[in-house]
Amino acid sequence: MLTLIKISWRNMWRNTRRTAIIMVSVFVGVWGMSAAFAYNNGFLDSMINMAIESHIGHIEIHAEGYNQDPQISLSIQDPDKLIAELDRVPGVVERARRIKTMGMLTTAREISGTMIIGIEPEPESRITMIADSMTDGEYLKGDDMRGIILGHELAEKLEVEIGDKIVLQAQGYDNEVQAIGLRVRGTFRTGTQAIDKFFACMNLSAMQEMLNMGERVSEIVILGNDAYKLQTLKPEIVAAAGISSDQTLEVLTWGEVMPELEQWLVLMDLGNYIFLVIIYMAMAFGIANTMIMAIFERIRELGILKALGTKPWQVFMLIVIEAVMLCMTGVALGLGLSYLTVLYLGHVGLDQSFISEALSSLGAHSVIYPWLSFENIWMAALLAFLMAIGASLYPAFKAARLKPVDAIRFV
Amino acid sequence: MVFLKIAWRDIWRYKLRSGLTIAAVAFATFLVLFSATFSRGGHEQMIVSGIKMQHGHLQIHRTGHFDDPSVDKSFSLDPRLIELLNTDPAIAAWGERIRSEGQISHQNRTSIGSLMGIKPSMEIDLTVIDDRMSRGDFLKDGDTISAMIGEDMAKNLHADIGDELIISTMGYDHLPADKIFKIVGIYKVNSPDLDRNAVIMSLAGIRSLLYMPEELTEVSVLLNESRDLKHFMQRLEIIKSYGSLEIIPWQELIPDLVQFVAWDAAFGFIYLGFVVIIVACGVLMTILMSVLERFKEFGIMKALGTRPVWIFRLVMAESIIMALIGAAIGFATGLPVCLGFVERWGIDPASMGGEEMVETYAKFGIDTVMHTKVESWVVLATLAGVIIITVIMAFFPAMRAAKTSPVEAIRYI
Repeated sequence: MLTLIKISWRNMWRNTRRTAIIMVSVFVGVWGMSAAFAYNNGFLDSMINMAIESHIGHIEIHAEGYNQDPQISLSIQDPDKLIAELDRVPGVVERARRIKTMGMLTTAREISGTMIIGIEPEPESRITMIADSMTDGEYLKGDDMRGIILGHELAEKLEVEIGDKIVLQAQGYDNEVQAIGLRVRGTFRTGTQAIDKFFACMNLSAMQEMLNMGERVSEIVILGNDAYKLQTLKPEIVAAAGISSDQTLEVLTWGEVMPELEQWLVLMDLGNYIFLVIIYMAMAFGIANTMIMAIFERIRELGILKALGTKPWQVFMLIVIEAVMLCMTGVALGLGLSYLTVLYLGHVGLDQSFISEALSSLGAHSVIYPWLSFENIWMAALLAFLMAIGASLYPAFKAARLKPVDAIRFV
Repeated sequence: MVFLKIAWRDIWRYKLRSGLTIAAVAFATFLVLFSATFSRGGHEQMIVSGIKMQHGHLQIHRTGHFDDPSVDKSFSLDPRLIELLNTDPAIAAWGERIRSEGQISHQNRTSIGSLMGIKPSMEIDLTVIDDRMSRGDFLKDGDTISAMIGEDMAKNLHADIGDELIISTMGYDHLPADKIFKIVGIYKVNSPDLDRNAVIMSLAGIRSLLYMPEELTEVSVLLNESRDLKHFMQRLEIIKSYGSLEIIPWQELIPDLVQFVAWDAAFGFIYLGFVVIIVACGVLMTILMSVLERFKEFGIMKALGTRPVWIFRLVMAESIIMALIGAAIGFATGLPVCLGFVERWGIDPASMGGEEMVETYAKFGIDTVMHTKVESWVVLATLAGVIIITVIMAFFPAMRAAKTSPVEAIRYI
């Protein structure tokens, strides 16, 4: 067997030009496909980071059932004890209270629906990027009870400027519709359309008072150390929630708050897989062609080999092994270049600002940092391996069944 | 012209080589045709489903309404406009609408959303909403108290068929407006805007809510063919003389869809590029090998006085003829497949991925069955592309052939 491999390897290099051309085609195919998957990975990362940084944080705590049915009545009754417990958990880097509800903002001439969020300006600014994304005016100050900041698209729609008065209407805890007059302090741009067009923030205490909520809050948002390493943090928080409250609370990671994020990757990868099939078919064709030509070139030699006693399966293996080695060398080079490309782009970032609107409606950044997962790499290699075998089967089969006499005499 | 005869004979002399080259070109043509038509089909589907949700191919508004929507910026339907909309052959359907925004409550739950007043009999052909009713019935003309909401809003409000909704908003002339509507239908069109944040009632209903006169805020138009859009818009220009109206095409109504399609198209193009490179390698290989093998032949020809440029032309001619044959075969096999997918079957990748996939697709409002779209320019472009690539790939081998040394060739014999 080893001899067969040695012979195949040497055979491969006998016709350098042909080998080189096919290796280029495999190289290009593999590089292209892995680049596509790397892009998808970077894209998903971008969406996840965006969601986390602009609003969701790493973990959210609510009254049970709130995520499915966000009603003001489903609130955390006694947040202070919970906060005290949370502060004892070492993995909790930041935590903030929030009240969230849907309301209406009206000016003298305009009206718009909004998702109004009562925030604690200080801790919130350390959890989300809103404080750093102000386009106009200023972020809320801790003691500002009458200020409101809006997403810039929402502000545009309402045609408000900094300092303008705006009326917020929302349904309170007691089911009575409440209204409050607020002054626009600033506008923000997170890059996610859903937020910039819809969200507004005001002071938590002011909102509690307006909605007659007392000390209750809708959610507590938590920032840990690493968005992808929440497996230890989450149970600790669940425990803290259990101790501090009689109420049943739900503790959700970002992935549980927005399962759509994961599903997006599935969708994008699907598109890639279809093209993967097409590209690999193109490569398979090239390989099959090469092996057919290789066989015909050496048909007399194969005939002599068989005449000297080489068994049919060995001839078969010669062809298949040559095809596989040809392919896998191309794959190795292709993956090598992919790795370097991804390393470079992963560092520098890929700028797609020309489609920023589409990206913001999907909730992704304009600059993407691609990366390759281990799975991407071995999948590409494995599929190439199988494809090489598949492509060479027919030619190898024909070669194995050559009649020595006819082959030697072939002109 | 003798070289053409020789080229033709050469092709048949070297059956294997020619066969391989022709096969490579045929395969390339097939793949390119397939990928390109699929890509176009996908985009067309995205656009059409986006358009048929609610916006239509274009809308007519009162000037200034699009940039700054307000119920006060309404217009009345000039009879000449009605005539035009009813008779123009490019139009598949059109609808009269009034749009606003407000607060929607059911018992003690509130939501906010857009309010859309429609004329049900016109909307049936205009949007897909009537096909996507999950519970209850679609609206009927003239019904002033009924409304339809999306599944997501129904869930948020804990409301069902027969329940009452209180809608409050700012009406015409900035008067506060409140009215009670009864839910007669619940739909799911897979557009978050519609499913979660919209209430649809009849024109009569919304006029009574808003204290509005017999006017509209928008007219939505659906065409038979997307490509008629430009010409149709030109024909429509005349309505600007009927009053201060503006015409807004879907590209401005749904700009992120445009970018999304452009993004997908860019990717499709890149992939196609890769496919082309890979197959071009295959074509290069077969032609090159064939040329190198024939060095004796070329050598003798040169020894006999054939000029190098003629050998070059000979090889190029052979390659082009093989390309044409290959392309013909590629189209012969490819076109029926692509056309078949266009009408009848389509590929359903989601069902290949399982139950979960189908749900994921549904969530994003994407029709899971993928069709191709065969357009004549795509076919011509593929043909041209394949020929050009073969010519480029044949260039180097042809040069090599032309430079064959007669002395070496003779020595070999």
